[in-house]
Formats: sequence, C-alpha cells, structure tokens
Amino acid sequence: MTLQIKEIEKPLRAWSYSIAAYNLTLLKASLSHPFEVFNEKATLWSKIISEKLPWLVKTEKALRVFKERIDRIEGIQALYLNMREAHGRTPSDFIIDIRVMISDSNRNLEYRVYAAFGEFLRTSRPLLFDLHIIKLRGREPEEVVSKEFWRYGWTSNRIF
Amino acid sequence: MDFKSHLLKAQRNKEILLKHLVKILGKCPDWVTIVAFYTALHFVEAFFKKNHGLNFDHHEERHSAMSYLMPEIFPAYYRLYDLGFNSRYKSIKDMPTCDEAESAVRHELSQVEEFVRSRI
Repeated sequence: MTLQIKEIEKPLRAWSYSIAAYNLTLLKASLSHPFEVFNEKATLWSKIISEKLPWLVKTEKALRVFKERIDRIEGIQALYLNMREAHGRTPSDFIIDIRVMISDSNRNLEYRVYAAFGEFLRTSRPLLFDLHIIKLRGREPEEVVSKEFWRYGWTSNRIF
Repeated sequence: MDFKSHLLKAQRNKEILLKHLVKILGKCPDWVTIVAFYTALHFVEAFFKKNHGLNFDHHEERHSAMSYLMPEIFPAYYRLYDLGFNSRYKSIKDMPTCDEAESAVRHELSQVEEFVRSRI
C-alpha cells in the first residue's frame, strides 16, 4: 500500500502572505495612481496590517499548539477549521470554527477533547473559537463537513 | 435577567425534562439533549450573574469565560452544548443516541447543577 503524505495546508499563513502581497500590489499601483491609492486604500490596508495581522499570527500559533494536543489524543480522525467574521466581538474581528472528527460516540474521548479545548480557550484569550465534535458513524469527513472548512494538517492515526 | 430568574428558568426546564421528556427519551433523545443544554445554560448564567455580574449574548464569549472561571465543569457543559447543537442543526444521522441523551441528564447536567448550586 502506498502512503501519500498530503502537504500540510497553512491557510492562515497563506492569508497573511496574501495580505502582504496585496499591499505590494497597492504599492506598485501607487506609482501610476499615487493619490488615489494612498488616500483611499493605503490607510485601510495599513490599519488591517498593523492591527489584525498580529492577531492572525497569534491565532495561527495558538491553533498549532492546540493541534499538537489534539494529535496526542488517540482516536481523533481529523481536524477541520473555518474562519468567520465577528466584528466587534474580539480584537481580531474573526472567530475560528473547529470541527474534530471521531468515529463514534465515546464519552471519555469527547471529555478529553473538550478539556483540551477549554485549556486552549483559557490560554488564547481574548481570541474566540467554537468547537464541535463530529461523529463520522461510517461516513468520510468530506461528507459531513461544510465545503468552506479546510483540513488542518495531519493527525496521528490517518495518513493521506 | 437576574440570577434568581435564571435559576427559576433552569428549574422549570429541568422539571419538564424529568417529568415528561425523559419518559419518552427513546423517541426523542434530541429534544432531551436540547432541554438539558438550556437547563445547564441557565444554571451557568445564574453563576456568572451572581458571582461576577456577567451575562452573555453569545456562546463563544460564555465558553471563553467558563474556561477560566469554571474549568471544573467545562467538559460536561461543553458536551451538553455539542449534543444540543447536533440536535438542533444537524442531520438525523448526527442526532444524539439514547445513551448520549441519558448521560446528558444523569451526568453532564447533574455536574453543572451541582457545581452552580454549591457556589451561589
């Protein structure tokens, strides 16, 4: 059997790169339309980059630590993430939705996941997260998770 | 709402749960977990209001506060939240089982109520 290790996606990092790339585009555009760009757009993006990027970086670091903890729990099938806007509710203005996949109901396993998540919330304040456990019950993760979610990395008992 | 109103609401939900819904748990484990969750939510809100003067409009903020103000019952409460969420928004296949609904009432809700009543 051939095992293929899927490249770990880092959407948060990709997003922060894309913000930087967009900023460069603005800079380039400013050569031809300096006043338009700097007056209307640069202030906005400067605000985003200076105020939100640190929260994005903090979120990514927090999630990495959480994933390491989740990976140590036997029985986790996959971890999926999504980002949704939450203006004014958190300094980052976004909430990360987390979906943890397990094969079926297992109270002990679920308690371990919730305990890890509680610790994660405590150490990640004032960032906000929402977690739900999905019991696959014979289904594939892709069948039960919404399309906007992305799979976060590689988990201990499943290789792609 | 003040903390007494939250306690009254929790008590009313619990009575409906134990007097009526538990008797038909086999037919509607989903509704058992929903009422169990909202019972727990009002117990938790009573605790926050009485001891910290806090109330919450959103689950995420409440969970964040629970993670450091009541970590002892965080897993039990969160399981109720999760079972209730699956009951309300997910497919029949995601519906809580009878065992899960029974556990929600006997263990998770009991833990939450005991914690709150001993601290207010």
